Amino acid sequence: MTSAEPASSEHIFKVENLKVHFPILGGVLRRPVGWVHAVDGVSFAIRRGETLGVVGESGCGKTTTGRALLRLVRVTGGSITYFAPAEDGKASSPVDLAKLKARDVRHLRRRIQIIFQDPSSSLDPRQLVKSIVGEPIRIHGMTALKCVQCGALVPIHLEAPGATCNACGGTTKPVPLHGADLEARIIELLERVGLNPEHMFRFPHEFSGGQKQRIAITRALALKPAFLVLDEPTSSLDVSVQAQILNLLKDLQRDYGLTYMFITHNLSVVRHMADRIAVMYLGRFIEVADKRKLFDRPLHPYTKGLLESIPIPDPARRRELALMKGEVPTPVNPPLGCRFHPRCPVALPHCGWEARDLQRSLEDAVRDSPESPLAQGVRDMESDGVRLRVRLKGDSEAAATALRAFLDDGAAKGLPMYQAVEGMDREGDAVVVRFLNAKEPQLKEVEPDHAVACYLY
Amino acid sequence: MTDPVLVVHGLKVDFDTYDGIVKALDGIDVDVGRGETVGLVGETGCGKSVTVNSLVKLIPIPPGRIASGRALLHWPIRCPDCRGKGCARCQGTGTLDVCDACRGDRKCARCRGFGKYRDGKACRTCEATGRCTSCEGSGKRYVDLLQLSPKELQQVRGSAMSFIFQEPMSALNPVIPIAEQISETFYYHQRESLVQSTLAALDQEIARIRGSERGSWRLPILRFYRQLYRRMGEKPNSRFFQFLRRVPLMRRYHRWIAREMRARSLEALKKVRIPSPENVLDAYPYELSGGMMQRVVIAIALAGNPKVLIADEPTTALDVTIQSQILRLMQDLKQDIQTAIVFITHDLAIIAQVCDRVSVMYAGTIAETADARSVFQAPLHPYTRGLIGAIPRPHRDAPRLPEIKGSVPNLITPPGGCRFHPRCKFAKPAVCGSEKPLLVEALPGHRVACHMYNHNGHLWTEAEKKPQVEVVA
Repeated sequence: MTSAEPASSEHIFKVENLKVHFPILGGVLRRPVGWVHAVDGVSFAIRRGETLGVVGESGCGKTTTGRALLRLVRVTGGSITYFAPAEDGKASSPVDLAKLKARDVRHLRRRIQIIFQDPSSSLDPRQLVKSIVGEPIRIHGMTALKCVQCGALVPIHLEAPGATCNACGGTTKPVPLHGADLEARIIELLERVGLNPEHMFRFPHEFSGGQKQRIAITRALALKPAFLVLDEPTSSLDVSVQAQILNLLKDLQRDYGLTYMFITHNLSVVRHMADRIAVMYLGRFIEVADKRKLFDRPLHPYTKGLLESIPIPDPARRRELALMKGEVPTPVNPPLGCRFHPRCPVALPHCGWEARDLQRSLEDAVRDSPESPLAQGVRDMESDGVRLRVRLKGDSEAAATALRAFLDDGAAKGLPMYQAVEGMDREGDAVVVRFLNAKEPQLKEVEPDHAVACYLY
Repeated sequence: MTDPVLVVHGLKVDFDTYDGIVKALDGIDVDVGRGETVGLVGETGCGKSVTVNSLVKLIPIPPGRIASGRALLHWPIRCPDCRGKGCARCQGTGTLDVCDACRGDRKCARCRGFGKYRDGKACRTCEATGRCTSCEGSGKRYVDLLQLSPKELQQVRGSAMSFIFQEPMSALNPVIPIAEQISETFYYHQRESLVQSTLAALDQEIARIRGSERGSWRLPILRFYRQLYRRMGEKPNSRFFQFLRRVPLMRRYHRWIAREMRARSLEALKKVRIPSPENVLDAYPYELSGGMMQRVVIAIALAGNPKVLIADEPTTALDVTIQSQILRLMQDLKQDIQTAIVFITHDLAIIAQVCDRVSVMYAGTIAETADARSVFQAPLHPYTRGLIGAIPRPHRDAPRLPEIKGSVPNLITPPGGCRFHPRCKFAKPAVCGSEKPLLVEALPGHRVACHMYNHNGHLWTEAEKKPQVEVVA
């Protein structure tokens, strides 16, 4: 989000210009020879109690963004301001997670939890459910409020200083959780997520996928979190089980006052779960909007394409699925300007066309008609940002004319790439084609609660 | 079904495990019409993949075991009398399409079409229908896939029936270039026509050399190759050629047929609209993206001109934009080549978009079979109603999703009676827990296996039986 943000107290996270780059190591010395721009300048804020949905295709950086909020990946740049909600009447000041040392983040992570996509690999196969859920409780030294008279624990979501016992109304005092109290707490949580107390003494492999995901949720809840990153929690589950888990997550959010960041590639699920939705493409947020606005009136061409390619579960509304051309480019060397421009159906000349785009279509043209004067005259090509250097062979005059004709032909057809050609210079036996310099479009709020990064708006 | 290409009837498959027998399939009935797209939908472990894989014995046997059932595939053969040239026996068509058992008179071989024996008892072979069981009463030539020898099955796989699997990365061999992987299909299933076009190419080359002023030292070699290929045309499966391909220098004869296969592979890649197919031919699978690999797999599957194409979750591993590209491609290709598609998926939305008819599976049984429109708009079986209700809709807001309680049962000790009854809202333990419901035609063209719609139907009220998708009140 870029424009006027309300006072920060109602936020839980405020992320500015977050960058996470991964090195590609090469050579004998294993030095970085390139960088994967997984997350490349993302800004957003998450309000307390809301669900922010993040959608995008695989490899667009949505999972990395979620992990960055927990500092599970090394953050390359930007800030992640975390406003810890007051707990037990104690408020704490905002901190920038990106600047903290790893050991200082660790205790903050108690209240920022994550649920992973594949529960089979996020649960230790050699631990009993009891220790899977009990271990974080022990590590963080969690306490519980215990009734002085009847010995019952106050349910986790009703815990507050001076709370009275639920069962008998007696006074309570905080006790460390171990032994029978720990088991009582685990049973309480297991029952809350729809499992039975006897499941405590089983191993993960004895459960189905949906049940394993419930255990992962239990483990996160045990620490009284304020914020949960849900990283594709239902993508490995069947529809009927998915419905159970989604309903459970919604109930927990209501009862425990949780804030969610819901990461998924499934647009139907995100519509069901989220309040606001951010659409991610190649390491950038390209559209952030209230979910109704996003689904009713998507603005970014990518979002439109994405929405039109979801199959609808109703044969009466069968439709031609939208076809988006091409595939997601590599994040090692993302396209200049708007990252979506090579696939965009409504791209403009100033969307960031560059030498690589022209090189690709020239290569296609050369291959398709190897007898043409253009194909005869091109020796090789070299892309450098917005400059394409075409080395010519044979009759270089004729080849240069053919190349110019090729460019003019494209421009005459109204293709934005050719219209973006700024000029053509001769350099010896080579021709250099220059493109317009384009800046990347920034997220701009075009109407309340609806920001989009596209030059159309 | 008037003109089925594939009829599966009462298929039962068991797996022997140390914990007991897993009754993976418990009497599956599926039929696939010519050029039709049939969806097979259900949750993980309900037996969708086992159903199609067991047809061509792609399941491990043992532990797998096909306990009973028939799987009839329409398979006319080339006339053995005239070798496809046209004669009196095949009425000049070159192909034979007459049922081996009934010789085309469509009558049951046991009861001679009366449906009962002389003593008046109903015929058990044809279940009193009087129709020939080997051709489902069509008189055409069907083969029972489950009875075929491994060698015969090898001919079926990849030509009459081909597969597209979920994970293209593991369906392709990582150490063989794409062109070779596509060529295999041509080499093993269309060798005769390959040899024909190779011979034509050789003839052309020989004629060219002879027409030129100077002769060439290549001429005798090419003539020798021509002899070889003529022999290959007569005995396509001769061991001699397997041997010859391993002999240095001699194996160079293979280049001519390899060139032909490469040309056909290029055509196959163009058909699935791969950008710059020439470059893809020599690429290895790891060089391609998931969507491109899946296109290659589709190209391989279609190379054998299959009658039935089995798509086993072909888009599950792909992104939604790539998924729509692949689905569109399959729909377009289907219109071109008139193949029937069995589409297996757990995603009901895809089924709704591409299928003509749908079979909903639950725990190794077919719960409901009907055309796609009625399954989605007026589902009868309580499981289907719940399943369709449970999909989050992209264009509708709902505060909660209707859920189906519980989870899929263990198939070693499946629930007695209807396998869905422990999770069913409408279950009446007296009937549902003890009696297995049969698949009956409840509405025209709409078959369902539920006691609500058979002779026990009086136990439920009309409101409960109303076909509708479940919604949250």
